[in-house]
Amino acid sequence: MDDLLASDAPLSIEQRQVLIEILNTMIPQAGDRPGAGDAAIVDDIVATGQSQLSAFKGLIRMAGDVGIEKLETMRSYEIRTVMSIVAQCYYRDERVMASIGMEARPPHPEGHAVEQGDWSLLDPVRARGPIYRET
Amino acid sequence: MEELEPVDVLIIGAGASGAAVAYSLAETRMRIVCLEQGGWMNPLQYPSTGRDWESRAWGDMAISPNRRQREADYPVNDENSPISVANFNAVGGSTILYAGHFPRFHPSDFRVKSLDGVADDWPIDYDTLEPYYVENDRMMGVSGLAGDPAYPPKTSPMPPVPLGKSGSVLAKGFNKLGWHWWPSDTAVATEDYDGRAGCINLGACVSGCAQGAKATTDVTYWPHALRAGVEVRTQCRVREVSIRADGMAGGAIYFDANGEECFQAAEVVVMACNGVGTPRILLNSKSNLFPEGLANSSGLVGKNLMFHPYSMIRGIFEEELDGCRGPGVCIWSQEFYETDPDRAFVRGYTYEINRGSGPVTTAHMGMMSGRIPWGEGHHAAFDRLHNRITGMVGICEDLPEEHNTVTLDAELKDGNGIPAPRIDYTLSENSRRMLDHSVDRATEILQAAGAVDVYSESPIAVGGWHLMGTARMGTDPQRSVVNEWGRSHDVRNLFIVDGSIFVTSAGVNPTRTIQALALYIADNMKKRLANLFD
Repeated sequence: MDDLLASDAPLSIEQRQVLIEILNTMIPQAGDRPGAGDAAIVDDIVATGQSQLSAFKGLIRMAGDVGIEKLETMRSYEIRTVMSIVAQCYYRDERVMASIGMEARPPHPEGHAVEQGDWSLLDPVRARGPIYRET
Repeated sequence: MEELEPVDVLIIGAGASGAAVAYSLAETRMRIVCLEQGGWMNPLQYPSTGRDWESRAWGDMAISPNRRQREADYPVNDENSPISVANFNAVGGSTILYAGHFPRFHPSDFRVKSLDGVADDWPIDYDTLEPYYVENDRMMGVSGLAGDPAYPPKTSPMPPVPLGKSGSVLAKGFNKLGWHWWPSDTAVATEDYDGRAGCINLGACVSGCAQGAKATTDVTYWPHALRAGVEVRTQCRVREVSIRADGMAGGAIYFDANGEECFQAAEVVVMACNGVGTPRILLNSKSNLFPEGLANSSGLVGKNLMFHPYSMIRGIFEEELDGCRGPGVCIWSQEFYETDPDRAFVRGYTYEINRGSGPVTTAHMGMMSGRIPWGEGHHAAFDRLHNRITGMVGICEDLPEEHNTVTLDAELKDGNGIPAPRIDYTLSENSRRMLDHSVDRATEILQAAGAVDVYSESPIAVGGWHLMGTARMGTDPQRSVVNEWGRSHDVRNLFIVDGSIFVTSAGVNPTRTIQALALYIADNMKKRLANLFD
């Protein structure tokens, strides 16, 4: 396991395979939603987490020590770091965004539609009169 | 060291206050230079133009300079504070990342000693600032609705941001309880305004507005100031303000974009670097005349730091809400703003309603809190939260206490070797009680609005957005750093126009008042040009 700790080198094939198992345990494939271990999503996760390789390697080591199923109950720095990166990458994948009813596009330049709402909701607030403190 | 041709006015900092004072002074036709440690932002590179827009709020557009670590940033040692500093360094300053929630102070905010027996009264009042609020509203482009019962009468140049689904649901909750709410005054243009395009509901206001609808001073004040002849020098970081033999400020020593040390002589120096940056420079400006830092004969430079402790309260609803669609700001409530002797604290707070969040933020919060589990239940749990969370933050008035300080760190330095600021801050008992009250009442509001679950964080650990009080204003030179129109008691050609000069914090976002004060101080300077230093 020493090589999992000491190096800034990219993940080995074996390490990447363990990571994929962890990610698919975290977010499994279901219906039209891919698992987080999907190859394209893993590529994004690893690229995004390039400066956090030690966290990935620490997580992989923990999986070897305690088993993947027990990782969720642990709230170590490594797990929180990887979960954060997974959330960022999984929920910007085009297939995932489509499956949750969102267009896979940046907000700009199209923007979004937001309803004005019913301004008569203010009637009781107006009826109450001033509430600020006189000086 | 390169010595540059002297100028009439040297402004340090191109953010909210520096832009306003530059614009106002420009009509004097004096030679005005502004030094800014950051650069001009390119709106087309803001996060909302990319698919990774939410992620960048944890990276290069994070609110913490320690996390962001852009070249323009200086580190802040805030380990001895439950609230960490949030800022941004660029032309536009922290307006680049603010939400654009834009309340004014209230008349009572200037009279806390007289009314409640705490802190100090300001040497000026609401009526004094009112015309400058109006001018600032016009320059920034404020959207809002007249008639708010929580304020004296005021108007806005543009109509308010939409209520949307989230605002409507929460408004009904407030109404059930009979409590105040009103559409927020916002620094978001709801229509095309002064060359800026109207809001198209990008939902990414706090990462920079690619549309230009949010009033950041690089797109509001600065274009006008530049056209009037003001020069902005970017990527120029000030090390210290120099002092002349006669005790007047001589100018500033700074590092330019190439790291070269320069000296800019000036007849007048204006500090506009926020409640941390300004005391940092003044404390770094030690001399034989001012061995404890420039303009610090009172010993109050860097003391009385106020943050606004924030609570965050969120409700989970069964119906679909706005999510990340629309400006985050929406409505506010000042039901618990003014002091009530029946409560266990003095002064009060504002609720700023936050519309919702995007899928990444929802997943992040859910996974970190355990609401979204690993495994088979992940997708169903996410679906229960996605576009179904809304809520508010409580912005609590922070009373000044001398032990809350900005000092110079003994070891930490920025990229130019300038000592970095250190924050020592303790949450007061009054603030803790106010925070607790804000969480409890918000829970009632969310439940009245139909929330099926409520969660909170209090105080928000990363929520040091508002930096105030560290060079306070007053008439007594022993109890304040600047006089009632922003001039240093000690150095008669040194002015401070940022949040440092706040006597008290009020319970509202401070930018509108910071800018009104900057315009007020600039106006006083213009009226006194013939005898400015008397």
